[in-house]
Amino acid sequence: MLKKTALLFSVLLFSTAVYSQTFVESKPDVFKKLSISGSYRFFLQHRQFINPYINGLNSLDTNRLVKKSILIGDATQLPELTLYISANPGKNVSFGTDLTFWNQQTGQFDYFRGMNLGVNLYGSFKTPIGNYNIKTGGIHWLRLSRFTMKAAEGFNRYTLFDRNPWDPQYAKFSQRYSDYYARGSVQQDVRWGNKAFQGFALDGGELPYGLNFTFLYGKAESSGTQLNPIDNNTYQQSPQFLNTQFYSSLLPSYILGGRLIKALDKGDISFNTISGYAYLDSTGTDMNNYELHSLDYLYKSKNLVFVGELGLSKFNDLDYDIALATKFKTTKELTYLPLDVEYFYIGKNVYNNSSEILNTSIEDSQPTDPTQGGVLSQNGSAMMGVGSLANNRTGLSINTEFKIKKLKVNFGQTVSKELERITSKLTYGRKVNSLTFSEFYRWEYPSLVGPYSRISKVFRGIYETVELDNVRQGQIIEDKFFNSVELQAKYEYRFKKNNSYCFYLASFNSAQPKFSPFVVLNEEAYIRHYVHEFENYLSMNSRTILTTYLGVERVIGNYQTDINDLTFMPRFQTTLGLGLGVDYSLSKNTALYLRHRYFSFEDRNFVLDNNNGHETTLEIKVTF
Amino acid sequence: MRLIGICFCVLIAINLEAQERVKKVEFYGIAKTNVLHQSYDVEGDTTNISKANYGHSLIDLGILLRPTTSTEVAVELRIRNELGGFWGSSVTYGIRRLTLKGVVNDAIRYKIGDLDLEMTPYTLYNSGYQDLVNEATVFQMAREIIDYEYYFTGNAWRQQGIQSDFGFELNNNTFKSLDVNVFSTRNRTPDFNSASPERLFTGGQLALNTTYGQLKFHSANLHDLKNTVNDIMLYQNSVNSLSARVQLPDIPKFTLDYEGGISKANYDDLVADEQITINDYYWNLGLSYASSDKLKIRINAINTGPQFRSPAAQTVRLGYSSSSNIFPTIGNDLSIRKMGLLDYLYNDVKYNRTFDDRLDLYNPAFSNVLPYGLATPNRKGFSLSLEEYKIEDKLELSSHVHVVSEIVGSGTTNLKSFFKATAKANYHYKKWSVNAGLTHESTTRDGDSFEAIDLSIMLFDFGLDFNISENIALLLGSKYHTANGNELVAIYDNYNNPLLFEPVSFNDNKQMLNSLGFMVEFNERSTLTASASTFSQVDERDYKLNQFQILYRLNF
Amino acid sequence: MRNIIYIFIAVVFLSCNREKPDFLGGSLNDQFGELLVLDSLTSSTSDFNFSIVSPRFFEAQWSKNLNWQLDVVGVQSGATKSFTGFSSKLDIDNTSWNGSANDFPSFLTESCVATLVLSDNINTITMSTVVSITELKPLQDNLMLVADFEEGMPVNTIKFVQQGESMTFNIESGQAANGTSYYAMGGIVNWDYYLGSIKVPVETEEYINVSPLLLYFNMALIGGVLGEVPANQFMKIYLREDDGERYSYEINPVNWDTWRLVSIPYSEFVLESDPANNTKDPGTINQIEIMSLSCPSGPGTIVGGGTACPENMGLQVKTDIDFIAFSTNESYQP
Repeated sequence: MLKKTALLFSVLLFSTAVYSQTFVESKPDVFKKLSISGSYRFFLQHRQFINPYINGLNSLDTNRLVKKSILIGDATQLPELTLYISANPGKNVSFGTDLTFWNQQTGQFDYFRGMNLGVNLYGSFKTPIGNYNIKTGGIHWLRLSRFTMKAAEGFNRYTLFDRNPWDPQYAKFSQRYSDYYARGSVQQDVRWGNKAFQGFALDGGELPYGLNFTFLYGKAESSGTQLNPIDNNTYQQSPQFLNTQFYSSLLPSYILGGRLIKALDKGDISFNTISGYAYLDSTGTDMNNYELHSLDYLYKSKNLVFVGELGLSKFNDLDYDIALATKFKTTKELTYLPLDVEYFYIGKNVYNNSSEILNTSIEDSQPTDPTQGGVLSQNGSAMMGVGSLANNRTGLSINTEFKIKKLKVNFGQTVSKELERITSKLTYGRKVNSLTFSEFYRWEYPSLVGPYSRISKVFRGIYETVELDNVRQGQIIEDKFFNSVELQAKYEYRFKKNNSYCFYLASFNSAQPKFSPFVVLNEEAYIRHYVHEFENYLSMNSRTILTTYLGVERVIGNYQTDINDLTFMPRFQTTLGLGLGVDYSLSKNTALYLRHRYFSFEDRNFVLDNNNGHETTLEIKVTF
Repeated sequence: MRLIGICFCVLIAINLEAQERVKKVEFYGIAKTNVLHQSYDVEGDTTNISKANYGHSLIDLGILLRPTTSTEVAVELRIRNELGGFWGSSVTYGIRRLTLKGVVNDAIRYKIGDLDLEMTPYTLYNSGYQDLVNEATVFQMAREIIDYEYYFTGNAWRQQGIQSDFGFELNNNTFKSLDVNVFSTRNRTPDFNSASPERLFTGGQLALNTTYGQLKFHSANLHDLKNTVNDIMLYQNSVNSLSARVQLPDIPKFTLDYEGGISKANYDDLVADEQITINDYYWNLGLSYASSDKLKIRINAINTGPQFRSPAAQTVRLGYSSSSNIFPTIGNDLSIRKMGLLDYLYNDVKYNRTFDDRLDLYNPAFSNVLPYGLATPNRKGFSLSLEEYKIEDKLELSSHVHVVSEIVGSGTTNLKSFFKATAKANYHYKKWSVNAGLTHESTTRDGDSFEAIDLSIMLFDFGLDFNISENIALLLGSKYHTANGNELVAIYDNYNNPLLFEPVSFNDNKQMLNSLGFMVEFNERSTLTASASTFSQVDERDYKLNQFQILYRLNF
Repeated sequence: MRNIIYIFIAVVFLSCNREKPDFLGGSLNDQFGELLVLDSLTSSTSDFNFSIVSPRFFEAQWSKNLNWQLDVVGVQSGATKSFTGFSSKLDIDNTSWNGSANDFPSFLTESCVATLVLSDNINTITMSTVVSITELKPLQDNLMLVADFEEGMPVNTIKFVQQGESMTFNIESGQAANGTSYYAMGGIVNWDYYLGSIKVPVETEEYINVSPLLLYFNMALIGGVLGEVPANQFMKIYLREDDGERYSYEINPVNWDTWRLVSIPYSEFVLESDPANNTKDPGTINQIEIMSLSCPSGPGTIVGGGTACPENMGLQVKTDIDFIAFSTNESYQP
């Protein structure tokens, strides 16, 4: 019986006309234009100490870093493989995200994945009263004005020997160096001069009356959120809808900002505003609230440019304070040498960590850990480069440049003064071997560490804190004045029909209790800081560039700074960096970058702060 | 034997010819940014945090892989990062879907993996939301997110297993075709610690299409597999039903619908060597009248037994006992905050993604007449529906009235009586759209003071959209809910029989949610909505919530 | 075809039938109704004569099903009989009384107070009534009373008392487990576990066909107040058979201070002597020995080796017994 039933069923199935119905659910509208690009970056770092760095004291003993260390992966930005995925589903909407993957090749087959900039969505729409662009998600790199939201660009005085993870590759292999020679800057990626932002940004253009605007609501780096560590294995089991499961605190921490620009015949004028809110504790009783509103202007004529910004700022319960930066620029037709002259006044209560203005005067209780919302920057009275802005400071900067045949020279000087005596500390950033030294604390951002607890780490750099002996009866008795001079020379020459380049960068800085029109070169200065850096990029052929580097840095303190208990003398630091490297183009879009550096740091009066060794990095980068 | 051999060869030949090696990869998906900013206002509360700000951006990337014309693999990947997590500090990955679909010999379709299954409201059905009648557009944005995140497609359940369907043409004047749909899904994996065995959900339907209408047989079986753990208790529940839909020949505008079936729940206690079986039946008879495209009326009579058990249909979508991580407590004594309309729409309350053998907890303030939909046990009565009535293509009306009572009393011989009326209206005129909806329920029972029930609930939805331009609109939405009276809610034992009754009372409780929004349509599937909402709850502990949301959805 | 469908629907419509209970779930009245007494507590008769077979029970009625407890306490003996249940009334089905007590002491011919407690978590109602026991219940069938000490020691009983202090191995009168007399065993011996014993001869031929599983040794036993008696005082019972085998059972510790029935199936006794046939033969038991023991406090050498218990210094052993009996099929019901 069973056999007959099976036979009947088979006959029915295979001999009767059978048909398939349409599927119950609707087929998704598919999309074909997904574009994927990215880069692969293999980075190997080998460090060999001759005299290892002392990173702390343990009663009578010293803790030193291990003599030899190998890392596969760049600790400042790990990803080995970065993919950028984007699509334009419609003519006015698009999205993109990056995916990063890396493996430190420890032999344990641990693979990691992540994102760097995150998921970004874009849209635009036109109306009779203007065109609007929307950006949501993040990270977007945006700017408003210098005082509201912008990163300092400086005067493009930096060295190229150490490569950045985000440095692009060029069709012409030596273009990085030729661009720097020609324009004073390399082609930077989107983050140059901009600040990281997540949230909602709306740009409006071609509004009536020649207006354009930008509106921001979201988070800047200074209002980052505290998040729980995520285990992607257990996350899969969680209802995906829960919006809050990753937050360790839901307390609001955000910025609201905007810019309204009115275009004029020969420039523009704009009103800018930013307000930031961040809760500091888990009960929501302690909050940082800052605001800065400003007007900035630009006027251009044939030989003259006026540009500046005037702002009003408030932080928590402190009084309002003023920020002013006004500049005029001339062409060489007008003043023989082109001049860039700026006067700035930044009140002590001016606060905005999303701007160019460095906070050196307000205690904002922000965490130092960038993963908890901290912004990595020098604090205390900072000795800064030419053209940098800080609160509680007023000063004047002059920059100029000229060219003699193939030699280009630019020069700048800033003279500034603190407005009020708030702190008895000074800080200065180390320049030579700074990236190498920052790697001594590879995965963390500690403050006041080192054998004398005076070194702090920022992103790809370190700075040192100096205690001043200028307090009497609880009062700081002296003002602080700062002088900074930078000189840069760039020279292009031919070698075997290829353009090669030689760069020299020097900076001379001093901080002292009295005004001086020039850098103080004697013991009147609390700190004298001199740097010389030479680089040479020799194009052997179209695919090979030989790179060399020499850096010398000296920091000298006077007897009003920290005095060593054993030597009874202030700091006298010498830093030396000798580098040799090769850039080699393996094929189109693939290049190898080898760098070897001898580094040495010596403080002859603080004897524990001595280390030297060799560091070799190998980078292979592929872009697609 | 020879016949089978011939058929087999023909089958192979057809198959070989049909197999082209066409490799195709296509993409689809959505990208979304959702940012919320909320504040909380309770008079005299100095302890609880009163503000919250959070959000995320995500991409759900769907990939369709078609190695041949008759096979398709669909996978949906999710990449998400939280607002405020800079430099990849809060990145999550997930897989939302993985399904293999195929056709054998262009006759038998199969699907393996993530399936969306639905049959009848008595057998396999995901009952809808209880906090909406005719929701405003501004709230529909949030509702669509819930549907998407929890895989709510209409009234289907997302399950994981295998499904196949095929049909036969019968070449008969009366019997046109027979459709067969079968499935088997995994409802639960074994847990050795609690001795919970593997549980499968198996079933299907046979549909006979005739010239007079359609006759269907449905089967839904939730059953434990023996010997997958050290068995203590085995459970099995079967629901088998027949449904028919017949157009009355002499009066073709009238259609008769019927569905009737039986359920059998079996609890086999292997330790005590006892077996408990619970049987019951139901039927639903309906007559509908459709005079034209503009008018449809329907009348139904229902009788669902008190011991009718159908786990895949007797469900409540929202987990009413769950609470949100947003402002979870109220007052300086840190009592649990009672959730409300705003939480159900926007916050992280729990929605049930699948079903189990226990009757879900329901909230009588939102649905007391048919809390588990039509499959609610212990109901008899009738309903009258104006399903659709259009006036000049501008105004659409619909209305439903249910007059129902218990079949057997709950804890007493007196029976509860239920009344539910729902009315909806949609109106479009030039750039304006208005939609409104009202539902009112009342529950009564006579008797002594401890058993008397008098509960009255109402939910009102209102929405107003104004199109400023072709792709920009202003949106306004309101929801108003009241509950007043008392009820005795059953607490069920392990066999889903009422054991005890818990008194609940609503002392003129009110909830009001208002929202004003601004929407930009970039194209037909991509929208940006910014909305500001206020919510107030008047209850034992009053409170207010304010919210600002930005939601950008980009479909591709 | 159409007609078939109509007929089918009609048949299904009309033919289904279900069994309907009165209501689903627990009664709301039981859960929430007010607790009211409908009929007060009464006894079926004012005098209870347990020597004759006739119904003896209590009656009461109230408005809702709940858990109740009825305790009958003898005024003179202190004996207690308890009834519990879940219902809305008392009747012959749930309070029928045969004169037994929960445990020793047994009832005397005395007045008893019956108290009924009703509680529904909101209200508690207590009712009482008085009954008189005019005749005690007869002894169980198949009960062999070995000794109740009402008329002295059983014939040929051998007593052994150790040298010690305040040694008491006598029949005493007072609050006995049954009747008015009991046998006191106790004292202070600080150098030996063994204080003393009695050996009672018995004849158990009637139990020759009884399985050891169904033969019960019953005895009333009382210790002393905690702190006044050693915490580790204990008793040992030997049953000797005609073939020389000796089976023992240890009751350790005796740490209660109210009369308590000890009822042990013979099957739980353990062979302590050399085996003869290695089989328990209930019909051949010829002697019961009951020993009173306790860990000696010392100081000095302890007989049989072992460690002294200094904490027992000055504490007087009390292991009094009453109503020694054998029963079959079930324990004795006091």
